[in-house]
Amino acid sequence: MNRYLSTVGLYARSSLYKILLITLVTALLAGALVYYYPVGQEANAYYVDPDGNRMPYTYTEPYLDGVIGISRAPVVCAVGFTAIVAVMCLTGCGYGVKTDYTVRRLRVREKTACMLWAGYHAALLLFFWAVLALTLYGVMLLHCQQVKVPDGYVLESGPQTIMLLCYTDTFLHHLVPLQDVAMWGLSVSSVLAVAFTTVLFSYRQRHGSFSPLVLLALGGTIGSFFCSLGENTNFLLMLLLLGVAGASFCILIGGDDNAA
Amino acid sequence: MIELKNVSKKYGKTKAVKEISITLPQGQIIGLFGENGAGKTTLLKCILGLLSHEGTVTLDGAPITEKNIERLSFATCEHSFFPALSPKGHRDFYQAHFPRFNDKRFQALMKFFELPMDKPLRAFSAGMKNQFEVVMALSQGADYILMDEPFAGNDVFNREDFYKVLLGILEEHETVLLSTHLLEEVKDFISRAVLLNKGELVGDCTVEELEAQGKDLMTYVKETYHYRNDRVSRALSDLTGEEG
Repeated sequence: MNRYLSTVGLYARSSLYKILLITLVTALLAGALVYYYPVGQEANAYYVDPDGNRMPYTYTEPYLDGVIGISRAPVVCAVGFTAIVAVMCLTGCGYGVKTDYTVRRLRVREKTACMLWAGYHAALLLFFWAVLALTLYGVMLLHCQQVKVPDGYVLESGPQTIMLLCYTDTFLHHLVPLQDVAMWGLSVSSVLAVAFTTVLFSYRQRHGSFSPLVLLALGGTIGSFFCSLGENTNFLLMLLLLGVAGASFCILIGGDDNAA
Repeated sequence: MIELKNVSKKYGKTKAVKEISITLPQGQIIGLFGENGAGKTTLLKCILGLLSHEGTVTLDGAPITEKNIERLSFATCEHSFFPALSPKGHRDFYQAHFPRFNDKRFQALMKFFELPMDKPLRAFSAGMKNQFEVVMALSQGADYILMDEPFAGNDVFNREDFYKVLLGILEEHETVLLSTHLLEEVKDFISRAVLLNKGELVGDCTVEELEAQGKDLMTYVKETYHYRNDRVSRALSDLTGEEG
């Protein structure tokens, strides 16, 4: 196997199944919380049958605005995200042993290995993001389709319903920013910041020191994804996260492989 | 051949290794001896590039970098494995990363030490961890196998049996540089002794040279370190007040 792929494989063997499991459990819990949250309210209306008669019927009108937030799904997602960051940080630390002796004897330089591992972390974070986005989007779609109408009639929720939800629900908007370029920027900054700071954390631990930058990345991401912030605050957070990602990258690239 | 030229290492103002120049050709089992703090571990780490140092270390004339580091392996009592991975996980990684990984030797040594394949390393006992560290160093497919007190804490039967197995499995091109205090145990297995004292190289002699001089390894070591034979009797005499 390629020496670069095998270096990624070293991390994957330690963390992949744990992160996939956390992602799955988080998505299931968050999806269930939103799905089972009572979102409908009964409403009465009339429809016109083929003979031209106005017929009364009762239906469940979905009331979806802010449902994700009220259902506490973002809290579950924040806990799952923190668990993933913890797994990423601890992979490669090797407490009680000198894992760095092996890392520094690999056929790739330690800083190259760190870049590969940051890429691996970024891919896993994107996967976590995609799974949550699909799950919550899918659950909201199911809610929209639960409108009861008389037999033979189909009342379809238009794509506008979901699109509007993607803009009105803070959490869903962060997961699916659609055409909100600023939000894409913030989300990508979060991914970069977490990917680099988690690798920097284990790098520093292997070399006997501590990097607090991961706490900034974690706090900034949770703050931006899971809380409703103003545009200016979001922009400042994006700058902070980009700064944290850039600083971590520079430390990793500039790190002295031969440091004692 | 590994060649060290004027290798020195300072920790603050303390010189841990002082201008050591030595060559390690292929096909030798070399014992690296010295008391605590003599500089054995520091020297091994300088060879591996784990510590910045003065002087040069070359492998067949080239500096040791990620391009040729695979020709060196390391077993240390500090342990360098990944605690969350099982032996099987380590084997899969080493197989993928080190093209010359010797799976046959890995399987044989795992069987010899009776180590489980699927348990994470963090669940191993201290002795089993030492054994696994040695298994990986010997299986990597390296030409130069550096060992730093690999069996600290292991029972004497395991150690003796292992040295016998080591002699049987090593190929002609493989060199073992073994740092240990257990001189008595390894005296029959090594082909050369390198002696350090307070960071300085104070002795370097092959078994053939010793035989030619009519000396055994223990005598050579005691002479080099100016061992005083009356040390024990004088201490007892001082303690008990009786004549030695």
